[in-house]
Amino acid sequence: MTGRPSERPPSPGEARAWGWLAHLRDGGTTAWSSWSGTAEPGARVLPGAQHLELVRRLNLQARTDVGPTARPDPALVERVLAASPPGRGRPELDLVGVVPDRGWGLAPVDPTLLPRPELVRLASVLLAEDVLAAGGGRDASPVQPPPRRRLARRRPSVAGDPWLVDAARTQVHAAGHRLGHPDAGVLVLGADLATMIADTWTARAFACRGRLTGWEAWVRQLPERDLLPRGADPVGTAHARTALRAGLAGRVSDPDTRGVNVVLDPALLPGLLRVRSLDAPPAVPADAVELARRVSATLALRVPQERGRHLMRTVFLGRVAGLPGPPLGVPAELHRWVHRRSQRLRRELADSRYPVHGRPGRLVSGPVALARRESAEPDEGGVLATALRLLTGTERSATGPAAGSATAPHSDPHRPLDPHHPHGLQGGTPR
Amino acid sequence: MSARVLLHVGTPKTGTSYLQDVLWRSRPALEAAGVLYPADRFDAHFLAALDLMDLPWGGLEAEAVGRWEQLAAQVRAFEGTSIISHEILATATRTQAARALADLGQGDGTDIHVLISVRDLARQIPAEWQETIKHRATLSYATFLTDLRSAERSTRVSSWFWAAQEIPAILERWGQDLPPENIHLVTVPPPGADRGLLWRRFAEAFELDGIDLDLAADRANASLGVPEAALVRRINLAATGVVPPPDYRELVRELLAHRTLSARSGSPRLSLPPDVHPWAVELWGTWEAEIADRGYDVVGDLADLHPGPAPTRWADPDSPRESQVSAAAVEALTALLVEGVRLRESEARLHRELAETRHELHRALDRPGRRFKERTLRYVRRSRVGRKVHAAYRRVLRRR
Repeated sequence: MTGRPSERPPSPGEARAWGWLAHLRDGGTTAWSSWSGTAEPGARVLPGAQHLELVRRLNLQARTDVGPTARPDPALVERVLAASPPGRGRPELDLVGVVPDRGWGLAPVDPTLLPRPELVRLASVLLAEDVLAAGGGRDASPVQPPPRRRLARRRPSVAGDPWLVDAARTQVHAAGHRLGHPDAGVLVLGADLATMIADTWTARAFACRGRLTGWEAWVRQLPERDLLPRGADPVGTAHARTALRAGLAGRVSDPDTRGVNVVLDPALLPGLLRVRSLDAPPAVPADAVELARRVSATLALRVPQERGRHLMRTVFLGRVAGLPGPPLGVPAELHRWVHRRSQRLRRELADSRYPVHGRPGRLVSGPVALARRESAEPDEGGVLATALRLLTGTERSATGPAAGSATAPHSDPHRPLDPHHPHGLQGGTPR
Repeated sequence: MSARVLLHVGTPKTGTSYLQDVLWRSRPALEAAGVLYPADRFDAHFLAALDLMDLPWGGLEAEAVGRWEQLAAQVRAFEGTSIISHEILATATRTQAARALADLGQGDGTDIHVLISVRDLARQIPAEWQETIKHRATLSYATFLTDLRSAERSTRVSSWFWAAQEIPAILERWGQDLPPENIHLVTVPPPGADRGLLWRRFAEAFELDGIDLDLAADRANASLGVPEAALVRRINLAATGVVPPPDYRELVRELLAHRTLSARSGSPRLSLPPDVHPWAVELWGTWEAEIADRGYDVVGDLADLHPGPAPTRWADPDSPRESQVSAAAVEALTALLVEGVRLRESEARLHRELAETRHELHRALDRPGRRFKERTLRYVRRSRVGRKVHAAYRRVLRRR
């Protein structure tokens, strides 16, 4: 944002920048380097280069997705221009050719050359505001408690793969039932290891826990430490829940594993939870998961974590579930480690005394199946395209190159359907 | 609506902690003099700044939600002079600064003054590196200096440093809608000056003279010497992945850096290398011309901000004298041993208390009939009907 004392006439560079701003407000898509028109100043200060470039990208996206005369909502454009870029020490950037070299300050930039994450950072602020507004604002009532427990309906608690757990819990609660009766035991939900790792990360991205390391760094440190995250370690989770139950029952020295069941076959889960059927967990493309991480980080600064998590898993998830694009997947260089580790996990499960519903072999992620699986790591271009489409509201009608041509919500092709239910239930069927 | 707001926006490492501690301790005296320092806890303004600027800060941001609005509302509701002070406000963007000023009553008749305390780059740059090191960083001094001199400022360290220390840019962001006479620069006196001079300048800028303030505040950021900083960096290299952040904060930053190593005397002080010093002098030249041209109110002297002559002797924290580092390490180890002894004593005391509690619990539970009751309960709960009866019994007990 370039400041200009009100009594001084604009320099040629400033007049050009004001002209570009007017052009962008009219839905223009000309890049700054190709722009030559001028205009009188419309305010005291110019917005930052990242703000102006984001408006240009929104204009481009609207044209691509809707038609050559389409343009984003003018109110959205004004919100972009007034937004603060988030993050530590990142100010509004000046346009190259507007500000002379003063010997101090950040060097002016050509906005077309700005790194995509810079634009995604700004877009994530607006998306977080959208999520908050759609969820009733900062002061809306707290998250709804689960249904009241009823005497004759003893349903177990669920643990394990957090994406599966959340989907199951949400649906059972929505049907008016409550999970977690103290006498009904625990179901530890699992799938193949690669899916559980991706699910764990997806759940974290939607958890509104503040700033998180990106997927690429996070997943690559797993083999370095040879550790599994809790959500991808059903045996570890089963041990922890057994110890917890023993502690509550005052039998720390004699833990009883009978109440803890490991569920690997998703088709068996509705019966174990005493419901007719369960839908598959929502499928979210890798780019949208990465965007969720960024939006979560901003939202965590505006609302308490529990409410932020609720908003992310209802409002934001509702907007990105079923969007086209490959789901999050473990990178190819880790396939051998995942395969080895999943075999170890199967052995650990076999050595434990927990009842298992489904073949233990479902835990194993085979290298061939992993190589064939259609999955991806987040791509900055895709993340930006998703952010732009969510802002313009064209995420479901997109026909542009980054979004593919699908329009209707769909489930992850790697999450096979429950044969007993039209929408099916996600599970760890061997791939 | 406040008649007047004094907004102190930085910069870090300029005696701000001491000033804030004095203001915090002296709230009653200030209020009696018609001055509000609106804070319900020492770091209230820090949390408000985090909230205003959407800054994550190691989990503290969760406590900051809504804090800026609260602070601004307190200021607007007060009719005298209000003081707000936190150094990270220096990093606010132009949009955030404009919002802050509007929230505090700009445009509604409130007389807003922005104050900034500033110190020369020859002391600020080493001080910021040292602060970075005390926050678990492992980057060398040479890398830090290279990052700072990079035009892109693409690293987290360099973008933060310049956001917090580039005086003309900070003043441009905060002063965009204020007349220059409402912007006040408080300069930190040069090395060797009278120790009370900085406080007298603060008192003049904030118009605190004549108020009976509690000046016995002890919250000041102590500084490390070259071998001590090198030692902390080596500890970071070895322990960052092993020691969780809350333990690091307590054991390394507080115990070692602040309470032990910064108390050592005689170590060479951190300073700019002779080959970097001319760059700092040149940079100050461009800043000085810009600042002088804008006509701000200067409390002190702009000449205080000149980096001074290049040091004739310079100690490199990346290649410190090993004998000095080992002497510092021995003191650090001793401090950790003393802390270890204290924790062992505490652990032994807790073990004793736990054993006594267990004994009492055992005596309380080991009453006649308890085993019979347990056996009966197990028997009853084998059947569905029994479980229902037991659940109903528990509900009745809960209601009593």
